[in-house]
Amino acid sequence: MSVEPEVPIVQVEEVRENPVLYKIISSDNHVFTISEHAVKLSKTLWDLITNLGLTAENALDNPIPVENVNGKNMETIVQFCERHKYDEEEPEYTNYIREFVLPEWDRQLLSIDNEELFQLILATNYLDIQKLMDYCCRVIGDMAKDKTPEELRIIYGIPTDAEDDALERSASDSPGPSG
Amino acid sequence: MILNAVENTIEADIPVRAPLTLTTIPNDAIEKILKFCDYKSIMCLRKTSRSLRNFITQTKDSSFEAIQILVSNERIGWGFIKTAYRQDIISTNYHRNGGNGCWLFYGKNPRKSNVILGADWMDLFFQDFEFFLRHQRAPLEVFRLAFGETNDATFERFEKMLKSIIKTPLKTLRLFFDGVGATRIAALIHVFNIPLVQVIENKHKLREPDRDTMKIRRAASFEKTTVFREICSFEDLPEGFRSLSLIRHRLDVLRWYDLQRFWALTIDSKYPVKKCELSFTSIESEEHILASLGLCAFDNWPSGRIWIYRALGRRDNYYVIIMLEPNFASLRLECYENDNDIDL
Repeated sequence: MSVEPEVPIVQVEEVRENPVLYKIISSDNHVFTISEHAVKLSKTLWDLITNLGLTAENALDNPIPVENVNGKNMETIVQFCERHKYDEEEPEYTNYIREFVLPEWDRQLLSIDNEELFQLILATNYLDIQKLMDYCCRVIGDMAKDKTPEELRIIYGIPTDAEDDALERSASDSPGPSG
Repeated sequence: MILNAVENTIEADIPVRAPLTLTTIPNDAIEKILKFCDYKSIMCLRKTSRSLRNFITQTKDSSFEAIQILVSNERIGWGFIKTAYRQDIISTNYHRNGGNGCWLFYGKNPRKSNVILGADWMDLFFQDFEFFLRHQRAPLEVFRLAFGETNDATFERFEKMLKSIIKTPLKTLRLFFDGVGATRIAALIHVFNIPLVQVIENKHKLREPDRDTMKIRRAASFEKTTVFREICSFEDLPEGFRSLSLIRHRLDVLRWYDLQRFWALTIDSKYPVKKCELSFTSIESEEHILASLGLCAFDNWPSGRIWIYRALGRRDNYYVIIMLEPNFASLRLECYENDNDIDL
């Protein structure tokens, strides 16, 4: 089966010295180019690249398919990784998690609706990008400020206990794989 | 600009599936989100659904703790208290005179108590305290700093060392000082780097000793409405509220804890509380009756919902926790200066 891109390749400018680029194909066949420094922010992708033995010479000829992430989320992720690829490590950051301020650029990037944000969290969790996960969670956590339980239920789409029970019942009533 | 280099905007092409919500994302992500929420938000989230409440209760980082530190010339003791499990107090005492070093006494596990040779008691305490501050993620509900007999040299050294380890504002919703004068409080507030919003003084006046019985040294009684108005008013305070309570009485009300169905009252007393009378608007179970009138000695309260601690091992300092049903109407407590004086 061919994995030829159906849309033009998304080019991401490589502004510094390292010329090694990798191609990533999203679940809906969008193709992205990402630099080596940026891709290292994703533990999953970097492990994959290391295991596949991709080098500077053959990297662009061997696109990496990522089945669990769609193009829209991948676009956000690539932008984020490219933006933060030269960031310094922040070893003490998680100790003062509440004091940390979300940079304005990232806040703009993550100004998307909640459903998309939750999808991005799933994608980030799959690709294991710690920093983006922290930022997404920060945005979601900030939404809870000064809200009543009822407002929180609407904002986060939390089902009521009755809805939860109904979902569980319908799940147990539905026929299993053999039924 | 990297952003401008992205040539194409990709159309959303998301497969149809059940909408994602906070409760359907991975647990790790929910935990992380909770770390970014303030205490009030988490308490609100707990009320949204049963599954989220269970999750929050079981998540380690969301079990908010209180800390109390007691400083005297001879030792520093500190105890961690989990709000949801008040009986679960982990305490450690750092004694000054431990032979050739610091004698460490573990309240929870006395058998493991030991002497750290060549170690200084205060250095050791601050080493541990700094470690705690560095790893603290959730804000404390209560931070209580109490001083026993402390001379100027000990206090100044304590203050100086405290100053050296507190880099960011202390993360606590409420701050209590006990047994310390106004000058020292001012110095400590400065060290804690806390934007003080409001000062609350304990307004409960204690009854004069009852000459007829002679046994009763201190007593306090509260009507429910008074308690709610004067003690629980912190519910209406703005987020990030921190308070300072000047505790001057022998029998002091520290605060109320909302534990879902129950209310719990914590009291710090110089003398053992020996009598507790509770009245309820309705009696629903035998436990109510048992709790409504208790005359008992240490660790022998009639109801399983009442605990007494000798706070940090001090002979003259007691810590009482009484769990109350929501329908309680009034409460009366009495304490006695001498255990032997009690005539049951």
